[in-house]
Amino acid sequence: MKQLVFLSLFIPFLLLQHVKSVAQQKELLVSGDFKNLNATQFIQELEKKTGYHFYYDTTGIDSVKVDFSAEGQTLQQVLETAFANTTYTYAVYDQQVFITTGTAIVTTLPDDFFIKKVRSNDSASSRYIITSIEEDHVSPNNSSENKLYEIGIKTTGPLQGVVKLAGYIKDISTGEPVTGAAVFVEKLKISVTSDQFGYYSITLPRGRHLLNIQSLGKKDTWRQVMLYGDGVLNIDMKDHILSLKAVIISAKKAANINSLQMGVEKVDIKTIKQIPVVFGEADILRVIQTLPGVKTVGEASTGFNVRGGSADQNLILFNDATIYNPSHFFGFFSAFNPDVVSSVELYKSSIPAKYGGRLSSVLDVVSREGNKKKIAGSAGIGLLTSRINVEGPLIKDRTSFIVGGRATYANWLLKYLPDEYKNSKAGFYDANLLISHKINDKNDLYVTAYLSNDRFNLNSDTVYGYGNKNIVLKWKHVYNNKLQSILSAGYDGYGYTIFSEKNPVNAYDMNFKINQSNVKLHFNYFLNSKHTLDFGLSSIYYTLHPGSFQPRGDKSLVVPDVVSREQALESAAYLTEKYNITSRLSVQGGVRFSLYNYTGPKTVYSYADGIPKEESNIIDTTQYPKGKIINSYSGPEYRLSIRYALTDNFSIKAGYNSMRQYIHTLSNTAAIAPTDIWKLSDPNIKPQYGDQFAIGFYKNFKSNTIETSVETYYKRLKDVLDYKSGAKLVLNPHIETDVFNTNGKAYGVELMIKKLTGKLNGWISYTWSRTLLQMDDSTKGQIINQGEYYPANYDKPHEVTLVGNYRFSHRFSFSLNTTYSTGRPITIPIGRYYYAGSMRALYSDRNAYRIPDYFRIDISMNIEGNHKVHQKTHNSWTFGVYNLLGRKNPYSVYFVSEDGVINGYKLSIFGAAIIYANFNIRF
Amino acid sequence: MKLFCYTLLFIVCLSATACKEKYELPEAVVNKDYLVVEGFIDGGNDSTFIRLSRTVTPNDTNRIKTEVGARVSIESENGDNFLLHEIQPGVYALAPLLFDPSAKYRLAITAKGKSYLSDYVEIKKTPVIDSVNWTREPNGVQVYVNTHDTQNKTQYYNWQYHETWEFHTYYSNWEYVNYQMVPRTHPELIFECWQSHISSHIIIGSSAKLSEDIIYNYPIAFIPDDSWKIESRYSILVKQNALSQGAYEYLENMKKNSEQLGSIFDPQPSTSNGNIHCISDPKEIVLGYLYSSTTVEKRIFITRSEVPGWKYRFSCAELFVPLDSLLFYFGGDGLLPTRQEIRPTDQKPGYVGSEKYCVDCTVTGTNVKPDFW
Repeated sequence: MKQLVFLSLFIPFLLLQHVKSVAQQKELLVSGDFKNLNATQFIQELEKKTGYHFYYDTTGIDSVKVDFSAEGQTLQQVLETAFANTTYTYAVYDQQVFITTGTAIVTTLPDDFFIKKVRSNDSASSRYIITSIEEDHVSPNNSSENKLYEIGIKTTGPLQGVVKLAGYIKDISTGEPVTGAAVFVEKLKISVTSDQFGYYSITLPRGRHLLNIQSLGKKDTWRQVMLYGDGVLNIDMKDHILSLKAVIISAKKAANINSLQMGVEKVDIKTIKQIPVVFGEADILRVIQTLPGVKTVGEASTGFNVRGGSADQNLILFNDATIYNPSHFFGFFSAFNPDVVSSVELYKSSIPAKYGGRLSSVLDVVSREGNKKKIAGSAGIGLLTSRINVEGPLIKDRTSFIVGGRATYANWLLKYLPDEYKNSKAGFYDANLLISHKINDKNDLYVTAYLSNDRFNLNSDTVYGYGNKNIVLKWKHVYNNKLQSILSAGYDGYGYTIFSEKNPVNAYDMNFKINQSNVKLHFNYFLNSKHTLDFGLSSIYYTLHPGSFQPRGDKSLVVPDVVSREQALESAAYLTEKYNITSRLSVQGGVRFSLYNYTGPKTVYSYADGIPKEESNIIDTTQYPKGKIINSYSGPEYRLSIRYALTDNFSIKAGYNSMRQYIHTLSNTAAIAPTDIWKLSDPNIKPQYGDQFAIGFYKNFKSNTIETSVETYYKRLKDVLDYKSGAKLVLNPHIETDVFNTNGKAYGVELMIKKLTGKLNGWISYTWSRTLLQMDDSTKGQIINQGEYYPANYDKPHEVTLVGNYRFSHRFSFSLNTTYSTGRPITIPIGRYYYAGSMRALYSDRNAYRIPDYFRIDISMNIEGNHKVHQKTHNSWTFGVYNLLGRKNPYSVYFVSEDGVINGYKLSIFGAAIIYANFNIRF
Repeated sequence: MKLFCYTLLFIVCLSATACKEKYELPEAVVNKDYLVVEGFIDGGNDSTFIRLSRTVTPNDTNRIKTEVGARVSIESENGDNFLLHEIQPGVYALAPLLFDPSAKYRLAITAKGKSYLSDYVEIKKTPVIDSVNWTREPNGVQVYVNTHDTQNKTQYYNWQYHETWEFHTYYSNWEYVNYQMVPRTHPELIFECWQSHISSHIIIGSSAKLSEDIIYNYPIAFIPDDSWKIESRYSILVKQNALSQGAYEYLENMKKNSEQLGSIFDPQPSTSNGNIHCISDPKEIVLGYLYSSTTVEKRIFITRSEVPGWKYRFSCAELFVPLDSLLFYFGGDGLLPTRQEIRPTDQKPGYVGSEKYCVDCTVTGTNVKPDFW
């Protein structure tokens, strides 16, 4: 009976007996050589010699080494010597020895025990028996929570200064790291979050602390630590197996108050899976679109707009690999397999300095790590897609893998479409491979590979295909508790192909491709409790093939037309410092300096100054050789934020952010189209620049179970691209003649109320925002709307979203998603005219009209199989109805000339309620 | 498994999602009346027609708001000046002239006190049409055009077509005149007619991306197989003009903005200036793009027997009218009699009649046989 917990049950029994004091024991003398023994061996030795029985907790005791000899000493003396300078103490009673940490067990009843039956808690604390602070939380199988971890070398002197505690947080059953777990000390309001490897590092004053550890879908846990010096504490967390509740959109329960970050939304995969989506496949991007400040032009688009930015201003990362096209199947599915994703984080305003290259946001999709203990997997069957993934250890507890794949079989569906789409074909697949390998305690290696492919034709002879290819290698090295680094290298590729072969003379192949190789070196340096530094370097080498048009087949007369390759090197160095001035006030300042070099070989045109860039204004053509730097852009980007906590559950934050973007999507359509191409900044196309001021107020209620926030922002956009009427964007060797730079501004207020726990949970958000663009410089191109500000395509001033989940029982839950938004602006005809045998619409003021408002309700039900933990498979059903009201929500309103007259139409993507069912299985 | 039911329902839903509903054009607050200039300078043996009109608000009842009383002339770089005459309201014409093929010409317009000038354009020579052919597709007939320019100079093409078709109604032997049923004197005059239609969309093509200036099987027109156009005989006259690159791009943009909208990935609609400018007010938009070329044309015929399985059948409701009801049915504008009949059910004598447009083909066409027929 060596478990301390059992002891705690046993002690009252002990104490109720009439006991003799230690002093009354008959003297027992011990002799022996205790050379180089660990504590367990030493105790066993003593048990043999004395016949006494020792009670102690095995955990951690072996850190005590014994190296001495005794000659006729009392047991007390021997124990005294052995445990000197450790936290262990002992108590001897009858023929039993109790070894405990911290306070010794008192083997006698207090003198006044029978006089004052009830003792007040405070006096008890000075001589309490079992080290446990929150006794109501004691669970019989969680000894580590009751234990006091001593970190560093025990000293008896006064405890001063701060120390650094670090370690990994892992899932106890799978060994996977727990990402985004919050480690905090409530009394001190010090909080840190584990990184994607489960690593955390916290700076605390020396002394005793209660560390709370919380994470999504994991049981809350805590550790008691006594800090004498720097040290390591690894923490295992258990799954919250029966949890069906969990619409938890923040990893950190009080984090919205305590963290410096603002404008950050984190959604875990459990929440994502609960939100009803069309066709029933959990879709990360759809869920992101329910968050305040995120807009979309419509349902057939997974492109999204964050705080007034255009869709190409989002950096979409999957384990640090840049995903250029995050959608499948005309945007109805997102490119991320929900089974391999662990969480998604969207940065809207406080974008960490380690990220750069896009103006509006960073969407950081983090995958899970494979199960390190056993082979497991899951599979899902839906109406249009199926998916499977298998994971497990390659080397137990050290190396794990996940292989996941998805494929669609939507062709059958298209056959049922009206005649005009009858010959359509569409399909996609994607595959993921993730490997994590622990080299040793200080080094970890991670590999992420991703491949996606789409192919479709819409009742025409033209076939479209596109795909992403990504691979990232990451090496994480921990130098010490204060310093760690991540070195990553990767390749990201995206390309599309269009071909047509029906007309043999005109048969062609068209291709676009962008590749980037990147290297990043990132350091975290936890200087002390007040200062944390993040710094690093990154470099991306782009090679972009703007387009090639090639004959297909022997009979084709197509002249090969290849727009010459572009290449550029984007490098950046950054430094962020987080400074906790007081526990209430903290600031974070970051600077990122980016340098962009556009390099040869390339032919560059120069245009006459002061007039719009047009082919007729080309004054010079320069040929640059390979490797020659054609031009450079560089500049600092600032990332500042400040937090002041007025009370424990109310804080104010403010931030300023500036960004530069060197790569642009060329898209003249409202929605992101798969055939959009990218363009690198060059001497004629300036990088985009944007900055943002934001202020937010955060208040939590009911012990942090209800979070409310108000965030407001003002953003300026400079040199974003707009397109001339009839712009030719593909196969254009001088794009600059078809585009021009515009400026814009965006501002808004975002309100959010979240309830994180309980049977009923979810969030309501309301956003009021405007995004306005302006083109008033006739030397650049056409003046739009007389040079006035006009709304962007995705300017939807009012937006309300309600996402709710109600858990009826552990097996049955119900989710609701409601969204309302103002209709998006469109350009409508201000008149008509007659030309070429038909009436035609006359357009003038851009985006002066709005399509009708958008309103949609979706519901879904999750039915889980039984919850026995130890069964071979766990299965669940999801049923849902998308667009419950069957409302024909407008996607666009357009006016088209048909048979000589102009007809107006309202186009809806989903004109009816869509019922879906999905079957999921875990093994 | 219930999955199947859901699947079915799902299909129904998605089919219904070809969700296009009529949407009324919202009323415009601004009223712009920009000048619209349509036409080209015919550098060959045909007359030049320039149509001038004005843009109107969407809810204007005018189909075309013609611009009358304008002064329209063609000027050459060499200083020649040819005045066009208004032959119809808004249509200004010039008889065929022997333009100098090496000179460049422009259009000068004075309308409502403002003067307009086009850029100078060169006269492009249009190559002949190699063939107009057609194929029977599962659901209709696709008409193609083929052409080429051995000199590789044309590259940009514009087509227009005039369709003409013969059609028939019920043969009517009788006529109800002065309360009397009398044999019709010229039944063939209302039995066989012709109808025609001029293309109402922009048809342009380019060989600029090809190594040779060849247009191979370019789709011009599609006739769905439930169309009355091939009830018996059909003809299509294809007119071909060479375009300048600018005109091609202008028309392509106009086509995109007026005919090709409605997809998920629509471009931002816009209207842009062509190569005609308002001299009096340079900011004023002028619609239309002037080009100049010669015109070539080719006609083909398709008869019903060449398109087996054509779905269109002429059919109208017929009504038996007993003798005592002749006045009621045939006296006014209601029905026209086709034949005499004794009703089989009760052996009652009478006449069979049908709606006017089912009996008299001149209601929907003309009984004047086109000269090319």
